[in-house]
Amino acid sequence: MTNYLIRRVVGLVPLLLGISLISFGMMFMAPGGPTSVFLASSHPMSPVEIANIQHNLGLDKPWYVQYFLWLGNMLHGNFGYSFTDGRPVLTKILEKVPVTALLIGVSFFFTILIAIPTAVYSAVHKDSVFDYVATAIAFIGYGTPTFWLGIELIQLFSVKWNLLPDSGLSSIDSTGFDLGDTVRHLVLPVATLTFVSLASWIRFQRSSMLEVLGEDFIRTAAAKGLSRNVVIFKHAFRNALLPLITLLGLYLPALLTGAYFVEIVFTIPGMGYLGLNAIFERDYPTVMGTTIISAVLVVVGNLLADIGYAAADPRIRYD
Amino acid sequence: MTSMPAKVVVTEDLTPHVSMLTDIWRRFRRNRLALLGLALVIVLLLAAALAPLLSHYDPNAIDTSIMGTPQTPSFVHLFGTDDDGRDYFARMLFGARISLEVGFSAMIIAVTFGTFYGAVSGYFGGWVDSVLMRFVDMMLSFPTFFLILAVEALTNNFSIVVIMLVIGLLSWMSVARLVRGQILSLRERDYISAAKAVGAPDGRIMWRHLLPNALAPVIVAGTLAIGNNILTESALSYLGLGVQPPTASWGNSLQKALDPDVLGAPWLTFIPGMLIVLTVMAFNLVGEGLRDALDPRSSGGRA
Repeated sequence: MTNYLIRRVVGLVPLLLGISLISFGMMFMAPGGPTSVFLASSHPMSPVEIANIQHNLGLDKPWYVQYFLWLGNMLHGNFGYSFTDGRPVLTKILEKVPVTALLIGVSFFFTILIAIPTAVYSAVHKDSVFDYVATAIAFIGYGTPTFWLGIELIQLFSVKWNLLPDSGLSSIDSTGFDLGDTVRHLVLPVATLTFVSLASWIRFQRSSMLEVLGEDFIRTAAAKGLSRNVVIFKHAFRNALLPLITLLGLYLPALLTGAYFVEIVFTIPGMGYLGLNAIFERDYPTVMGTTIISAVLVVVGNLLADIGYAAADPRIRYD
Repeated sequence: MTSMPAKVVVTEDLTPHVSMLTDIWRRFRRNRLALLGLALVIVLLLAAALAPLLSHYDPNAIDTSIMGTPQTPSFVHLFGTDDDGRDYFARMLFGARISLEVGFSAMIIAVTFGTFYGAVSGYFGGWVDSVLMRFVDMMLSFPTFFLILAVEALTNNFSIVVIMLVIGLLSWMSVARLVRGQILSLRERDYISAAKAVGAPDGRIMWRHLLPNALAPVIVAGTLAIGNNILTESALSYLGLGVQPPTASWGNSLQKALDPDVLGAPWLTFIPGMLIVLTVMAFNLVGEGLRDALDPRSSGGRA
C-alpha cells in the first residue's frame, strides 16, 4: 500500500507540471500578450503594482525563462498579484475556497442521500413505474442548465413567493454569524446543485446495482435461501457502492463547474464567482490562479478516489 | 481484387451492411424512450431548417409600440414577445439553429480530432501512448467549462465559428480515451496480426481494420456530446461570452431573466430553458438508445 501511494504521488509531478504549462500557455496566447491588459486597463496602476507584475512575470525574458520564474514563484506560494486590486492571488482564492467547499459538501450530501436509495429501488424494481419515473427525472436532470434552474427557483421562491433570499450567503443587515440566516440562503443554491447532480449518480448507481444483481454470487446467495433483503443489502448493495468512489473522482470537475454556476447565479462569493469576475475584468493572474487551483483540486480528488477505491476493494492489487 | 467480378463484390459488400443497419434499427425501435428522443430530434431539425417558413416574423425586428411590455403568448405571437418587442417564437426557432449548428459542429471537431488522437495513441502504444495519454489526463483535470470560458474571454471573439472551435477543441479528450481503449483491445486480435503478416501498411490497418470496428462507442459518445455542446453554448451565451445579441440564442435569451421587465414575463425564461432541457434530453435518449442498439451483447441480456 505504501509503495502504491508513493508511486501515485510521484506520478502526479509530471501531471501538475503539464497543468501549469497549459495554464501558462493560455496566458501567453492571449491576444496582445499579458501586458496589453494592464496597459489598456481602465484602472490606473501604481508604479509599485506595475513593477510587481513585471517582476512576477519577468516580461522581458524569453517564454521558458518566464515559465520557470512563474513556476518557481508558485511553488513558493506566490501566484502573482491581482490586476484589479493588487492583492496576492493565492490569498484571494484561498479565502473563497471554504464557500465553494461548503456549497459542494452540502449539495453532495443531499445528492447521495437521495440518489442512492432511488437508484437501488429502481434497480431492484427494474421496469416498474418508479424505475421509469426515476429514469425520466435523471434524463431531465442531465439536460437542465444549472444556471437556468437557479433562475427559475429565484423567480418562484424569491420573487413570486418571497420565501427565500436570492443571493449571497447572509443578509445585508445581519451582524455576525447567524446559522438560520445562512441555511435560508443555502436552500436554493443547494437545491439547484443537488438536482443537476442527481442524474449522474442515479444512473450510475442504478447500472452498478443492476450489474451486481446479475452476478453469480447473488444467484448463489438467493439459492441458498437467504432473505431478499439480506441478498440486496448485504451482498449486492455493498458491492454496488464500490464504483461510486471512482465516480466521485471523475465527477469532481463537473461538481466544481456546477458550483461555479450556482455561485454566479446566486451571487455567492466563492471560487467560481471570483474566477468569472476575473475573466470579465481580464485579471489574468487571478484567472490563471483559479484555473490551476481548480485543476489541482481535481487531481487531488482523483488521487483520493483511487486510494479510497484501492482501500475499499480487496480485489484491487497495489502493484 | 481486380480480377473479381464486380457483381460478387457488390453482393458481398452490401448484403451484410443493410442487414446490420436493419438489425440496429430493430433493436433501437424496441426502446420507447429512445424513439421519443429520436422524434424530438427530428422535430427540432425540421423546426430549425424550416425556421423562416414557420414564422413570418423577423427574429430581430423590434416592434417599438410594445417595447418594454412583453406580450403574453397568443395566436398573434405564439410565444409572446420579449422586452424589446421581438416575436419570441421566431427568436426561439432561430435559436434552435444556433444550438444545433454549434452542437453538431463542435461534436464533429471533437470526434474527428479525438478519434485521430486516440487511434494514434492506441495503435503505436509505448512511449507515444504514454505521452499522448498524459496530455489527456492534464486536459481532463481542468473543469472544462471554466477553461472554455477563459479561452473564449481571452480570444475575445464571439463569432459562431470560434465558439464551435473552442468547444470542440476542448472536449475531444473523452473520445480520444475511448478510441484508444478500443484500438488497444482490437490490435491484439488475430485478424490484425494477419493483416500485418501480409504486409498491410499502418494506415491501411488503421482505416480498414481498426477504426471501423471501434466506431460504435464513438457514435454513442458523439450523440451524447451534441447535448453537452448545446448546454455549453447556452451557458456561454447566458454569461455573455457566447452568441452575441441581437442574434437569437436560447442561452442569451436568458441574460435578462432577472431584470424587472422580464421578471413579470416568466414565459420568457421558461420557454428557452425548457427548449434546452428537451433538446439535450432528446440527444441523450437517442445516444443511450444507440448504445444498446449498437452493442449486440446487450440485446441478449436480461430485459
